[in-house]
Amino acid sequence: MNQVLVVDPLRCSGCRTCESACSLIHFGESGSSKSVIRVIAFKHEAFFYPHVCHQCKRPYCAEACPVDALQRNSETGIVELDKEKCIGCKLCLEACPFGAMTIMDDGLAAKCDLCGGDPECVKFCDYGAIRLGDADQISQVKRLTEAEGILRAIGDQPRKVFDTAKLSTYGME
Amino acid sequence: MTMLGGYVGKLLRVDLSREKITEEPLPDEKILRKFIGGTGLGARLLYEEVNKKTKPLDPENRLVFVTGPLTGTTVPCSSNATLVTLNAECDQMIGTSHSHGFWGPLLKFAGYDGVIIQGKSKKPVYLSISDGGAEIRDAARFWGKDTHETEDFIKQDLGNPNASVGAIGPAGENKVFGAFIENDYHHSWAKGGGGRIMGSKNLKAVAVYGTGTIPIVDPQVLLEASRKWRRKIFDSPSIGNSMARAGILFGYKYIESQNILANRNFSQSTFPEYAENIDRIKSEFKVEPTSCWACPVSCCYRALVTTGPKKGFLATLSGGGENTEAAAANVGITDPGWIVYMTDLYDRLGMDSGAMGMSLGLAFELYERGIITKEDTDGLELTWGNATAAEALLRKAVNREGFGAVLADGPKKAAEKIGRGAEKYAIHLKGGGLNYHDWRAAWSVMLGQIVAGAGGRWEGYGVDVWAVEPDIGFAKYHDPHSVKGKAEAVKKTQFKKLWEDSIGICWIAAWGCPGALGWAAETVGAATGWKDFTPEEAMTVGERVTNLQRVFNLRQGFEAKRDFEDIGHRLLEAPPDGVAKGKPLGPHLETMIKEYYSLMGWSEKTGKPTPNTLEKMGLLDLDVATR
Repeated sequence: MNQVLVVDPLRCSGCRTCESACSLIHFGESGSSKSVIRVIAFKHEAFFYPHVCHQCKRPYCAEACPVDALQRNSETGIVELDKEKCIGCKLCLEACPFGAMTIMDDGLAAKCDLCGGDPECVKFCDYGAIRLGDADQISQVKRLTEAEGILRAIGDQPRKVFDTAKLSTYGME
Repeated sequence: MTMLGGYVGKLLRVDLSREKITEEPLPDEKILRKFIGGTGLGARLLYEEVNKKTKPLDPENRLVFVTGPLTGTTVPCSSNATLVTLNAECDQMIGTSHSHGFWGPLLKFAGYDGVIIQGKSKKPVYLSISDGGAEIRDAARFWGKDTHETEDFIKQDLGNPNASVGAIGPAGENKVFGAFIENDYHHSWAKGGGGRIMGSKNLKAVAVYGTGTIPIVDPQVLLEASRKWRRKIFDSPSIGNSMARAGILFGYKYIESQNILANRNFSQSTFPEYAENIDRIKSEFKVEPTSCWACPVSCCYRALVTTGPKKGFLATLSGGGENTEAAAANVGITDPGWIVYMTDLYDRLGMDSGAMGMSLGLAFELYERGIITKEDTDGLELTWGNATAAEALLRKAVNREGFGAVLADGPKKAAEKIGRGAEKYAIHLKGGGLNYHDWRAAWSVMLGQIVAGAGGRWEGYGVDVWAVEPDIGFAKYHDPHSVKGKAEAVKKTQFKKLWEDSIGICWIAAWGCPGALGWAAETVGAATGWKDFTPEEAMTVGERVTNLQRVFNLRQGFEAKRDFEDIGHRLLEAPPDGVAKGKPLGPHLETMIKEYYSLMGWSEKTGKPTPNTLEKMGLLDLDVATR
């Protein structure tokens, strides 16, 4: 069972605390340029998207890496970077379809390692826009939210559980 | 030398007269530890930059923008950038204001803890600051544009939608009363007339963008303390029940219950219809809270008007109720669409409604009383609630046209010009504005606004309304209409607030938040490396800054009698109705101020800090007598 990082842009306020937390925990400095999570801001629309690595099952970054510095840990599902092996060729940057790879000022690659399983960005998101959880559990929350909306819309209508006469409508006779 | 974290180490100096841009190091560690940043460091820098003869609109005056060591970190609400300059509204005083959004953090990411702007440009320009440098650019095209348009145009001009732009509007260009600097659509350096000063320098805007980082000496400690602090903010009733998530729109029941809803030029103290319509903004319009850098609170909000005469208008407002009360309630406007429209209009034209709003309130009241007529007002019918007349009058004031020119320099000067007994109705503190609620029903806030070192503003606020301050020994609310304990509460909250104004955070992170004083000291220690930094030292910084502001003002020629006398009369009278009816502050003011002076270690007669106080605060080198 893999823990996945899932973002909800409708909850993101654009405060960028996650960027500061990420850069501080990894580099002891605060600033977006040393963060591997980036909040993309559409200020006029007040729409904010916290951009994270998706920890792909078939990671292009790893496939592109000529020195095997990137590898998916099958146990945790985290695509891990071995800084010792990285040669700074930037092929991972080109291969990643999402822009999740970063090159730091040491010239080497950097990417999200989910802080080893307890991501700092999640701890600092006071809006619940970045969450870590079981993939199905996270989808279940969304399913519930949608279902609750439908409940609110039609919940007071009479139930039709015993209304078998109409089943023909659905071709189920 | 060990690394000093929290700071990025450099100041940028921009001389607009000589078109010269230079970098200089921050003052040494001894000065930094005494004054930290923000208001404290800004006031210390400005003290050296100007002399006793400098006037606010002189080219020699400086705009000193300073962040703090926590600005741009995970510390809650660590978005602060403070502007310190000579006060353009209150003569002979220092002017301080704080803005949030993203400007402060981006300035630090560009590599500067602060910017000092001096001189006067020959033509309209704006300043663009980015990684390790700055550029003076032509702004002729943007002159006359409002603050939000200017922000958009400058982002286009720079090709960078992620820059933060602090801009003046027509109000600053025309140097009218209360002109401020607006940034990130929602925020402003509001008090002290910074917009007027930018206008006098022909400086339209300051844009910042940076991609660097801020070194932190002990990131683990900073992260741990900020995480605990962020959770606790919501325990403060002023935040949890009032400010959080555009919360002021839910908060008017409380404001009404305390009778602090400022309206109709203080001629009334209750306004139920207005309070009900504020509730309608939340329930009827499309409202979205927005946040500043590292802010868990989101007091600011966008409001799309969906019904009524202003349908379709999108307002981008700051949190709190002062701005809307001063822009709308003060002229009797109650339509919810017009409330957000007028508040946004002040922001766009580039001025503090808590200042210019009082000019308008005065004009409306004088009209209602028959002291002025249509002949004085260029035909405008200034009856309470006439929103179109209010908008027309505001635009006239900003452009110094007709009757607007009478109002353009504030209510005190307007009343002098009008005569006919108008002075009685002018609401002002030392000629300037105030934080706009009706403090006649909350005496500690009123006292705090009166003795504030930078003119009417949040410095000392006591514990009468919204929140108590357990960290400094106030676990219970005070009776809002009693003299007892007020001076002491104002003094201590002023120390706490001026400390918070000096470290790089927004006050919202700390007001009434149990534990905030300890975490603030701890995070400043973790960021900088001053690991022995204690809450006691923090309060001493606040006390030092309170004294520094006083010393500064005295040097500029400020006399203590203005604390007692330079106050709009009505503020000292009892409100006509509500809980404070029949309880005027006026008769007690002298006692309260003298008690405050004495607690501060200032002469009760002259209001000057005694040599002993200055020595204790390490301010002897700034003694008024020596300069």
